[in-house]
Amino acid sequence: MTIDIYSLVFSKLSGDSDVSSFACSDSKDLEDFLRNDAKTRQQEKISITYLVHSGTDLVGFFSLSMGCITSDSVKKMSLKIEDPPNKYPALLLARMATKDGLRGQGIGREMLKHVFAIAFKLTEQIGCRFVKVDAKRDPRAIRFYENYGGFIKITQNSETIQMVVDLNKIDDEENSITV
Amino acid sequence: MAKQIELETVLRGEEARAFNKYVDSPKQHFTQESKALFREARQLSKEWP
Repeated sequence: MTIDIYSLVFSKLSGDSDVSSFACSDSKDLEDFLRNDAKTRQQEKISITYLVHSGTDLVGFFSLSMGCITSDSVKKMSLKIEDPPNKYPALLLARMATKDGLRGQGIGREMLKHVFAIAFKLTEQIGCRFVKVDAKRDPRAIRFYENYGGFIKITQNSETIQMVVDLNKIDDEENSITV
Repeated sequence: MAKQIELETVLRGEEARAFNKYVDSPKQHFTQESKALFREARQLSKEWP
């Protein structure tokens, strides 16, 4: 199945959303989350899930929460503020998946673009310094986030690699182009 | 039930120092692909969500 990425429709998960057809054999956890947990967590305001449709076909989803990054040596940093916090607010891309058989067609890139659109909007309203992602320990996933989102690795555990990108650096990059 | 996602990332020692260095560094080199994505996302943020 070939996807026209320009026809993708992004919408927020709702109580009526049918997610039963979504299959992600690479990660049963992602599949399980969407089918069984996403609606409840959204009702509880733990995470918000966005669905991506091509026609009537559910081809991907991503889920966002607020997170934070705590650094134990923050006071040594040369931040422009006098008493820097040791916790940084971050938009957490908690989960993102493309349906089986549709990878490599740009759906993931489109989803990441929408994540940054939300991040840019968010930073106009509340403090949010980073976008953070828990990436699978898969070289393709890491390259994807590095290449398309400018993410860098900050730590890891047995299952995931945590990566961030500094939204201030994106602002600086854009300002350096426009000035 | 899917596994819980940790909302907080705690960095200590060398990881914290590397993170601080990243925050402190004046600029980041972004790929052409990421710059293009940011431009599109910035435009998208004016009309969506």
